[in-house]
Amino acid sequence: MPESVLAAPYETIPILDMAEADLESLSRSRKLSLGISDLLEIKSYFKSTGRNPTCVELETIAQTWSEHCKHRIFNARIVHRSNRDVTPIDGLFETFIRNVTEEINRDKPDFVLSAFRDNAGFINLNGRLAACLKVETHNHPSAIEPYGGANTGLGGVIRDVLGAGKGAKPVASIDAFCVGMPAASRESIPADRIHPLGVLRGVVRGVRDYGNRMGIPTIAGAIVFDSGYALNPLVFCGTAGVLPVDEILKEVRPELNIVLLGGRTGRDGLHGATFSSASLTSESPTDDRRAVQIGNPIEEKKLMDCVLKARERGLIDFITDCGAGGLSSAAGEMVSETGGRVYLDRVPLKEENLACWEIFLSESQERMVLGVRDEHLDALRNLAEMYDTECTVIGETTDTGSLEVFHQDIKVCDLECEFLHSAPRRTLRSEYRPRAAAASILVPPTDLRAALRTILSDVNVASREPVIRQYDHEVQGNTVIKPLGGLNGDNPADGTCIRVDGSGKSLAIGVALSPSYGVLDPYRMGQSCVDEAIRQVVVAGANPDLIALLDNFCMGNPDDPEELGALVECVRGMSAAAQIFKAPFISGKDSFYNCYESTDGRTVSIPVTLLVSALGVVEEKRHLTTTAFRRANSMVCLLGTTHSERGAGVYERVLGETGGVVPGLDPDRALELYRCFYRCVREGWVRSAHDLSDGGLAVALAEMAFASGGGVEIDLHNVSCDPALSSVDILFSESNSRILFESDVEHLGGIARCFDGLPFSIIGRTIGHHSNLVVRAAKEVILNEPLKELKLPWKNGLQRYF
Amino acid sequence: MRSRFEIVNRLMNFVSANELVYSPLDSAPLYRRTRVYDIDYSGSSEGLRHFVRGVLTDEIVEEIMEDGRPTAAEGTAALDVFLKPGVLDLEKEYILRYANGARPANLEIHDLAIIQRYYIQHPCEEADIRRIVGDLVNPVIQDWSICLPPCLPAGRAGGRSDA
Repeated sequence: MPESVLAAPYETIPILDMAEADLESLSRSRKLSLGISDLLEIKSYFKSTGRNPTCVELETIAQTWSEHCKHRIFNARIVHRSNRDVTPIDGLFETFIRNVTEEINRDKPDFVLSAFRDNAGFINLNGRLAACLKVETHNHPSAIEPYGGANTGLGGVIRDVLGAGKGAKPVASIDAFCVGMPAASRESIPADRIHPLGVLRGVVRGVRDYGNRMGIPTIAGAIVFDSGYALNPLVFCGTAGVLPVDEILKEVRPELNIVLLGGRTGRDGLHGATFSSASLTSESPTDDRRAVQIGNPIEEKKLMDCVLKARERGLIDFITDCGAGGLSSAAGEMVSETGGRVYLDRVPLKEENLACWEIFLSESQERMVLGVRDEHLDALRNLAEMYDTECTVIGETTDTGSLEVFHQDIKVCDLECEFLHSAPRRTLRSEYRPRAAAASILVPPTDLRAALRTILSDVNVASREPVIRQYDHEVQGNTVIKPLGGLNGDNPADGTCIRVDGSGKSLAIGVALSPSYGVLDPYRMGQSCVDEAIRQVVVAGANPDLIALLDNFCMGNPDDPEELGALVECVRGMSAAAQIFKAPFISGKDSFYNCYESTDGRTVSIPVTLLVSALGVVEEKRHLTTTAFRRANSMVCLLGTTHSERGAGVYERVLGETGGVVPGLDPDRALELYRCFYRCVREGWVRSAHDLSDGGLAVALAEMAFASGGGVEIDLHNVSCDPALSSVDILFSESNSRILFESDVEHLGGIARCFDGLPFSIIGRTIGHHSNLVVRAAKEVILNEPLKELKLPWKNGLQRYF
Repeated sequence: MRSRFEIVNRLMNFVSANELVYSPLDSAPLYRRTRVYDIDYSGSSEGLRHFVRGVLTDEIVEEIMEDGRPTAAEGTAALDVFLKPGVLDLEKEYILRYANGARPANLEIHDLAIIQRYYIQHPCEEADIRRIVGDLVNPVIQDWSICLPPCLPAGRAGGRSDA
């Protein structure tokens, strides 16, 4: 570092003279979220260079080493204890995600084209076009300002896809929210927290206003209400994109121009990456206000159009988004293999007097960083002018292996890329103790009628129509299975599908979350989420051998061995299920420290939460399958075995039962069941199909019938199930790998042959002369309910909150 | 120069203020929402009126009240909610962009603030107003001020979230 640095208008941080306590105090006061071992590593690095770091260098390292950017928990060495077994885990990601994916990919080498190395992973659609999906969390900002948090959450993930390959075209978005109970009393929520209903309304509007204005359909999602999220809501936003296969690979080489495209830079979102790597405290709302922003979808739409046109014209060598950590992260990552120089004076600013570290770390939205050759600069500038967005050369790539940053002609940062991108590995301890079986409290099943009505009106089962209707799911004109369908346009889809122009194929997207399972059995929660996400896209018509997965984990404090133990079990379960279904992972993200520290020292963590998203390929449009019964006198068939698995399910939660078992997964038959179902779909034998999940057979049957205009009659006696199951078990068990489907009588022979040796049953038929849900048990009618009456509480369950 | 215009929707009646909160209020007050534009401009005041009428108002269903002071009847509180400086207000940005592009004759708009005004009608208790403010305003991005009716203690008539 030249002597001139010392005279620069920035701060030098004298860490070489600091003791451990001072270093920790520095980390706290500057909100660096660095642990003592990191700080000592940094001190040692600068000791070897013979100087103290500048504020820009220290802030850049903190952002780059943050949990948000480097996933240090998933890369940590973990000593995991479960009962008496102690297992060393050499990185959760490496062991349970990357290795499993590589093993699966060996059996289908042409399916996954890119995974874990770009903004999003890609799967092959037809040899010419590839599809990607990315899901991000934006929990901490959404807890403090729900509208802005969700707004910028979606904006950020759209830019992730835009920065995947040389610029994928965003074609669909998804969202999932975990919030506290909407009817929670105000007194039960601390004064400094936003009420769950305020969070829900805010995040829905945030996604709506960004997605709709960008012209990207929001086609799928999930909402979970659970008191465990009252203080720390979770907001997942995802976007799918499409890109020509030969545009996936991108490369940085020396002498490229580093170009900043899009919005101006201000003091927005400073410390966003480190903020999301820390827990919320009762001071957070005012203390972290700079980490919260409101997005500008119009600006991003212009940016997106410009990037897509520039990619089409071959003007982009490299592209990435400006997300958490701002330029420090985007430019830092871009030059990590080569080295590069950034000149902060050239960055267009929204406001004056920004300190150099503020310019470098600002998380102002709607910006992308590109690597562009000299000969393409003028063409890119012309495009930017045409699309009314700003295009500025802010630096160049080099071959020095160092990240150099200049401000007012003075070097304010000079870090070796190798050091910057080699955050020390953490070592953690985790412990899982299976929850002691709860005392079995069974509600006498005297009134199935009342139980079904209560369950259908429960906020976790009721129709999501009031939320879905706020989103434009039609824009771009390719949504072929919409989130709502059926006779009245209010029947919920399992997987939703978008046609991919020019490919002849469609993409099916499904999302699954079951946090209540995780409280009892996190391993089975991991399995169930994978099974449900896959089931959703298979039901929509996707080929079960062409499905890729995404994992998004959220939890409280990973430094607490018991909390981390639950996460480890969940990852193990998820990984095992992915192996069973031979479904590779292409992308993922994790979010930690979703815990709330109150002024009286109480810490409240969320339950360990996993969102699995499935991206499947529907090979022909005739395979697309919707969820509403289509005709009278069809046969109603049930695929899969029903076990007594109501543990932590809707029936238990709503009716106050305990002691049930969480649904597991049959490793020998699960994939075969879906493959056989797909064979039936290809033969044209399936008229409609619905997966069995929350509320089991009873809820799935009611939902399929609500939109048909007719009735349905089934006999539980015919259901393939474990011996001696009660009617309540058969109706409300949430066993995995089950699909309810409608078929014509004439196809039954073929279907039965297809499922030979597998659990399959014909349980009833659709009815034209009445519109009731009739359930028999060995010919005795145990339920006979007009569907119109059942539908009302289900349809209005969420309406009162919007 | 600065001018304030309040835009009132003629078709929007007072409705239950429970819509503004997350659990029902004790005194079941009613509310009505209007919006106020606080405009910093130079040029003709008639030109500004013309701009507000033509661009910011739907004259079929809305009417304009000039000077922007609360037009509340007796016993009605007026709560103003507005974004803090530096928080992106897209509506404001695009109004300014439109005004700069359209260049109305004899008028230059330098800046504006958009205020959401909530008239909260009697019966309203002070505790309920506090609840409404608590549930409606997010102090991270918003400020607020309130003009309380004379039926409530005058000493508490007004405030800001960060005061």
